[in-house]
Amino acid sequence: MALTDEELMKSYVKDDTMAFEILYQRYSGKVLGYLLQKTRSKNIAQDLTQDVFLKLHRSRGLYNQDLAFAPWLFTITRSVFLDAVKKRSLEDLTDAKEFEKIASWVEPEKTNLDLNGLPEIQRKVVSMRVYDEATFEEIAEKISTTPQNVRQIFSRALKNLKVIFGKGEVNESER
Amino acid sequence: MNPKDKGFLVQEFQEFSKIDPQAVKVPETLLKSLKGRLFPNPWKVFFKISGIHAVVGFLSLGLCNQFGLNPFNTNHSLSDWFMQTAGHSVCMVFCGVFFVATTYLLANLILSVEELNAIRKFKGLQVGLLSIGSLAAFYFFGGQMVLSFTLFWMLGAFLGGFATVEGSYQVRRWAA
Repeated sequence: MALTDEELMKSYVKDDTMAFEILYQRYSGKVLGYLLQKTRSKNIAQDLTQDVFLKLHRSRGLYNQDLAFAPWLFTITRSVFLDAVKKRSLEDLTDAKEFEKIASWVEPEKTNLDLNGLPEIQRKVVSMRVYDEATFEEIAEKISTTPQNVRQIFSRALKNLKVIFGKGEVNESER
Repeated sequence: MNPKDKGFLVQEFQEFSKIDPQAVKVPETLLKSLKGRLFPNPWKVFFKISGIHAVVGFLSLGLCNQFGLNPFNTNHSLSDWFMQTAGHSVCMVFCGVFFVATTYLLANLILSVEELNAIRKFKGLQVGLLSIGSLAAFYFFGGQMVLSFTLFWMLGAFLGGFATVEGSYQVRRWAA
């Protein structure tokens, strides 16, 4: 008979790596799925999934074996997500969602938005960020600039797209 | 927690529970990299520690000469003070403690808690090998070594190594 999550946690607290692997197999999909829903970014969700299991590992000694495992893991997952939101700022995590919103104004059924109205650098950054799901750090490396600068370029591009599709205002100096 | 927040949390947990783990493709590399972080290979960590020890141990000779080795030609050494205050045998124990403990203390700046735990599981073997390696290096560079004092030095190295590995791990785990 398969061990319960709580029994596995009991072994994991005693440094049983097999118990960790079984728990990981059972829950990594749920954790990643939840974080994907929250962040809409594969790369960020995968990084945060690692952080969740790292936090689980470091706090396994605090686990109360009389309580169910799933709600405890959920609490860790949620706190890792909220910490990430604080760290990266909500705007960074939801930018893909924002982009989807803009795309839905134009053609709801279309997944690729026409970016031709944007200056070349903004087009490049949006394309890498949204379609390739690259992080700001990865884009910065590719176009030889800083992640902060990439964030600014991306944010300007979103503003420009809103203007192009008639849903926002933009200051000419920001283009 | 107010009832509204509680209701929101319960709802979020229900959403979390509803996710079908089989429907989400988790890349295999994720587990591999996670295992590397959570359960590091103790021997990989040992090589890291050896590298740190080569640098820290050499620099520590400027503060505390070992077996007459004084590469920085310092006029004052902790070993002289240990010798004057506690005698030759105790001096060797303290020198052993100092030489090994400084490495493990400074290694805290580089190693993760998980890496410390990996050392901790084999600390007898790891501290023993580091001490024997150090003694071999002293001998190679012309240290004046006498068996009885060398044994006192080893005793100090073990005491210093055990205390700093265990102490560092407990403090770091508590802080994490």
